[in-house]
Amino acid sequence: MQRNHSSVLAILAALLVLTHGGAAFTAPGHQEDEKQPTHYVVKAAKIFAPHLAEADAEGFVSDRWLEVADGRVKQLGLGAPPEGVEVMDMGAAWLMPGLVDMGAEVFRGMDSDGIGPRYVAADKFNPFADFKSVWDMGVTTARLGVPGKRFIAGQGSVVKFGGSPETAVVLARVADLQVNFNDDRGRGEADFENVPFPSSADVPYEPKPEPKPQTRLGRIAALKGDLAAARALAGAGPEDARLRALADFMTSGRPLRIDARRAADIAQALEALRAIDAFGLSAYIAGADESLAMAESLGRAGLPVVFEVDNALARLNDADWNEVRPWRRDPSAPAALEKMGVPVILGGAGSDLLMAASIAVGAGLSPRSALEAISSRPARLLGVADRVGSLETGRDADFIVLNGDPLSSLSHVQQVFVGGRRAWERKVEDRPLVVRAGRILDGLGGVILDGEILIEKGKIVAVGRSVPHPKNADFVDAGPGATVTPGFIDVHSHLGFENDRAVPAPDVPLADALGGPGPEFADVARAGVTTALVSPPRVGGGGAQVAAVKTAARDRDDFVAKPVAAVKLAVGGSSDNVRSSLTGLLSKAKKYQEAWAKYEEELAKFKSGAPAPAPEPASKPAEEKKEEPAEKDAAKEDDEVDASDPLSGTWSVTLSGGPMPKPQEGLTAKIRLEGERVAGTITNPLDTDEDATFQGSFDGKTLRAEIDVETPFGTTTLIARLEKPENLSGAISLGGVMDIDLKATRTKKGAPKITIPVAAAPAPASAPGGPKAPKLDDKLEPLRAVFDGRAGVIVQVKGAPLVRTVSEVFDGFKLPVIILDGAGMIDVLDELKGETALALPHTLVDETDEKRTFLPERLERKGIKMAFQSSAGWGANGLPFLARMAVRGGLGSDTALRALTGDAARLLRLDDTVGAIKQGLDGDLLIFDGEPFDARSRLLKVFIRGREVK
Amino acid sequence: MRKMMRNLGAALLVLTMVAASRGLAQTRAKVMIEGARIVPVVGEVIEKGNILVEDGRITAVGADVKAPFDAKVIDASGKTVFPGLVDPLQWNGLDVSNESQDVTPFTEVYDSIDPSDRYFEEALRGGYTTLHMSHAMNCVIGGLSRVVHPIGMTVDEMTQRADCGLMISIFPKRNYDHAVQMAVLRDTFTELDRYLDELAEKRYAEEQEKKGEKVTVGPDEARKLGRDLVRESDLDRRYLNLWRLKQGKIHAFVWCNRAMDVGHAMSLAEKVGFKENMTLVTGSEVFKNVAALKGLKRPVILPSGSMVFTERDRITLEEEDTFVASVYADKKIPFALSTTKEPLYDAARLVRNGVARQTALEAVTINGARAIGLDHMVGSIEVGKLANLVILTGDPLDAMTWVDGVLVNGVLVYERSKDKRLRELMLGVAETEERRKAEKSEADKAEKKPAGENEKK
Repeated sequence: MQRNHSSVLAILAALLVLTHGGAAFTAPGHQEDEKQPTHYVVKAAKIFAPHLAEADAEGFVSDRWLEVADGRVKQLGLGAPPEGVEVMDMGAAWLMPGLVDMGAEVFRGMDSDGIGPRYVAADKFNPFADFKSVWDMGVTTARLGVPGKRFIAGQGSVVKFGGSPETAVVLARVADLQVNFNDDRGRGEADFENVPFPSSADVPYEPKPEPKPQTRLGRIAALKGDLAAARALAGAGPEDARLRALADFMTSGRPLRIDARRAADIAQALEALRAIDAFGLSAYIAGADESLAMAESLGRAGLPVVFEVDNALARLNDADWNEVRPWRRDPSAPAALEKMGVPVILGGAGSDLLMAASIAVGAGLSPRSALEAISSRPARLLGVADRVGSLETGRDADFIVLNGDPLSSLSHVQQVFVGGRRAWERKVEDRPLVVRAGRILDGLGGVILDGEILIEKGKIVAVGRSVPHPKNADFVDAGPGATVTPGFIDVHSHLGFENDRAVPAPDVPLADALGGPGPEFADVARAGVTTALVSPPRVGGGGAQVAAVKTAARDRDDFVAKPVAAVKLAVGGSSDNVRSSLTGLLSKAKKYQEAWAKYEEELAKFKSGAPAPAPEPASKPAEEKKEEPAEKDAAKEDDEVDASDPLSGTWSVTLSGGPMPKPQEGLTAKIRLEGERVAGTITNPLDTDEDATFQGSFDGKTLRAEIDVETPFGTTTLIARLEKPENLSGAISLGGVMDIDLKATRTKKGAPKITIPVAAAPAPASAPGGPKAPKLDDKLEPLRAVFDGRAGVIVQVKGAPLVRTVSEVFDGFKLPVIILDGAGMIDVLDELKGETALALPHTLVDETDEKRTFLPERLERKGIKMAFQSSAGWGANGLPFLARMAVRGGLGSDTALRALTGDAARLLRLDDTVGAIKQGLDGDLLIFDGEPFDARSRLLKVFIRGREVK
Repeated sequence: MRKMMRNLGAALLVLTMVAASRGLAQTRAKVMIEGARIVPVVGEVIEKGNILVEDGRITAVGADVKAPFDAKVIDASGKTVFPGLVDPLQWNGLDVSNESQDVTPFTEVYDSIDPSDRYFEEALRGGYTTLHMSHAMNCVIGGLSRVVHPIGMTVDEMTQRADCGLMISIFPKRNYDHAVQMAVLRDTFTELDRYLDELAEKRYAEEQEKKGEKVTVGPDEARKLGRDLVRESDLDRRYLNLWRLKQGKIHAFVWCNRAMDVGHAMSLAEKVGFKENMTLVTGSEVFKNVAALKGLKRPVILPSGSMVFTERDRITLEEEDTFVASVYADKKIPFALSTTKEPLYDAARLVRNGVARQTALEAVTINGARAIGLDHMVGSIEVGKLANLVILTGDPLDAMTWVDGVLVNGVLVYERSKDKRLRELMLGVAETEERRKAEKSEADKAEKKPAGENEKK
């Protein structure tokens, strides 16, 4: 009885070990820091360096680079960076020293009340904490403060938020002594509370005294009294821990931090400071909400002021929106204080110092001063200016990289370096992109003035006057004079096939021949062609596939935009021959396409109608049929004993070793051998009620099988050799993590019945009872895509008459077509039918023996669509120049743009992915500094799927 | 009726305990454990061997140890003998686990151990023979701890080592932060120094007076000269144990819940001077500072509640789990598991997470002993050590293994076959009732029988 219970418990416990144990945990240990260079140069668009004479009004320099060596700033250099030093080019990014926060709230969660001068905030600094939320705000150094509302609350410290214990350090253990002059300070000194041991005859119980000081006047007296008592102490006599700490502080040379919010508090604080003047302590005022009213007095006193800019976020956190505060923080205070000569330091705005600085700038503070107020000034006040707060030579290399002007609400911190090491980086994968420009031409004829485009994961997500700005987005402001257009499309290019002499048949998958964008693509991409339809120069009678590729790509999948984007045909000979052969080919293809379309329609109907009553009885007998023979076979073969079969039968198995604490004997395995295939069951040592099944192979000597049991390790395999007849020996491997030895002897011959639960096989293409699929014809598949509206057609013709013929034939099938090389076409323009477009030749001139005509303008006048083609490999980068020439020759620039973008995309059925600046399309953008087709304007940037081409 | 039965049960339990503790006193007997698989933790496994116990200590271990004629033989063939388990930190069994005040080195867990606490019965059933009873971590400095075995009617009877050490917590007590915690800790030891200086000065003056000489040196010199004259009896109880800690007479168990705490612990130990007699008790996050644990004199204590560290990314909110013991094992930091209810299960969990078997076995035995400075007495099966042994039905890490018997100081204090409560726990309530009835009627019969026999005569 007891034994039963114990075994059940034991199995439960074993299962617990298995399920509760380790596999759910990630590999132990934490990530090792990636190898980072110790000596490098950082280039950025602008660097905040107000200490340099050449800095602009806002304190930035634009042509210097930052050299970092061994965790420190070596120099802000000019000209060529030193040889052999790694260069990190941050592109358009702006660089700033890491921000210095006067009131970090990082550890607020576990703060307790200050207990007087004995409290040293550095003690609570956790260098192993997660600083992501601080770095996110650009803060690398902070003053750790003292919470609570005691009069003398404790000593503040300065720490650095580094990415490793070497860089996350306490810069100054004692930065200041926090004294609270606010009217709401609540409690007295801690040392009168909680006698640390119970009272007894010799230890009297001391009653808790009233909090002190009670009044404003009392505060001054108390402060003065404490300081005097501490100074009198002079290291002798029975000591008071509180006074001893105060005395130590007084010799440190650090200032008092006076918390004073309202004007009256500030006045009081100034009064108190006069009263303790004799002690020679410096001080600064923090909080200072009503400092605007006190600007003059503060100016006279010459005390630094830490002003906390109001912020709604903090109020949200503290849930004190309803707090009635009879005073307010006027954001114009910093500007007013500065005018009075008070060094202002900014804080607040929910730890978002950049936001606080922006608000202060909005209220009149100069940008340079605002940025200094969150970097160099607080560093100086805290006595750590020799280490942090600026990028002067010798300082710690603590800097932040922003995607724009630090004071812009649209800029965000993207990277944080502490002690020269990259401590944090905003996730870079598929970083969103926001582009702003004075003019956006959407490629379909539309214009947006002063508009923005948001690209996420390579696709255009929003276009308009203003779009969402995700925090981690790169922001490109091209300026009011810039124009953004969609990336250009080359409808006929030989990129990647320059010297290819092959004449591919229509069933040759051309896209497979393309590796990736080679060096020749880069020039083309930089010229502004983002999508090219590529094929070899030569084409056979049956036509060839044309692939659409991106001219710059991350990998091959990204490179091939559409494997079969068009069919290229070449026709020549008499008009009648061309007509009949082309019509024949297209009719055949159309029939083929219609057969497939019909099948697909029926299949869809069949699939959606499957649960209807009609097919059900038909499928039921089928199921029964399936099972019956299996059972019969099994029953039959179970009795059949094949003496020569070395494996089939029932085996007695012993498992030992590995995780098995002791050998388990007498487990049963049933094996059935059919040819070389093996199926079987084995007792699961963990769950004796249900056997585990296995399947595998047997080569006459060795049995290899995979056991279907769930383990946290992965696949469980069984490998056993038939050492001698009737004896198997081998091992069960648990995902390669550990092995269990296996030994087995056959106890009964004959193939047993094995039922193996099989996962349902995928439904066949032609489901029973469903429609029958037409025969697949690889040669016609590309044209089927054309008729399906999934691909375009490009026809190369010889001679003007054929232009007319081809146009007529395709119009008959209601298909758009792009015709290449029809010299003399100028004479047949009026006879073109339907959606026929002409690809412009390199010369832009239609040239016959009789006359030369400038084509683009003529086509535009006739309302005939045109497309630009390079017909080249390496030379394909000339396409945009061709368009400029066309415009110079009289083509409307709007038509030229559409020919390069929207029209080409539509003719080639690519308008669902490229050719326009429209929601849902690829983020292929060109930024020009002026008119796209003006020879004076430059192409500033090219983006392909949201990634800049460099 | 039922109540009576319950009382009877309690009485039986008390009786077994009395019997056992009485046995403890008679440790002169020789005991021979025969035919067992011996897993000594320190040393090689003996597949079939004997252990001879004399005067409560192991005097011989081996395959061919012969039993003296007067030895009581315990047949353990087919079973496994393992060292009695060691819990290096435990507060179950105290009436309260923490004092309300910050600094209480003048208290002793002696006063709060409750020998009749159900915990001790469970510990014995689980194979524990050595428990380090200490205040828990919600303190600044806790009371004086004590090492006991889980059997005995009084604390004195249970005691293995009377004065063990003090719990010092670097991680803040409730409502404190690190700055307050550290300030209180520093102040406590600064105050101790001041007190000791004063005392030394006084003692020096006293000695001089005894010799009939005058104090001719200044106070600083007097303090220096008087330092060695301070006797334990001179000290106020408030300072006594802190002084003993400083003198290296008792241990410090320093609770570091966070990685940052280790640095604080080291500098405090350095400053006060208890580095040599310090054991760190580590929380789950400490693995982040695993480098700082290198070179410690003693294994660190890992409470079972701290075996898994879960961290949530502040921005993505993704959670990541780390199995702390695997990191320790990887970095070769010796550790002992503590405060676990299922020690062998937890040891198996270690193996399950990639810790070597030997390391896992050490974590519940010898490393626990090392952590409390008793490795010369307990924690392995070696000649000369106390005969604290567990007889198991199978391998220690096998989930199907039961603790079949426990010896403390060579006395068999627990036998599973006689463990009534276990039997009741394993059976359903109804079955228990039935069995009780059956037992009672049998007992009744037995009472009547002799009378009948007499009649026959």
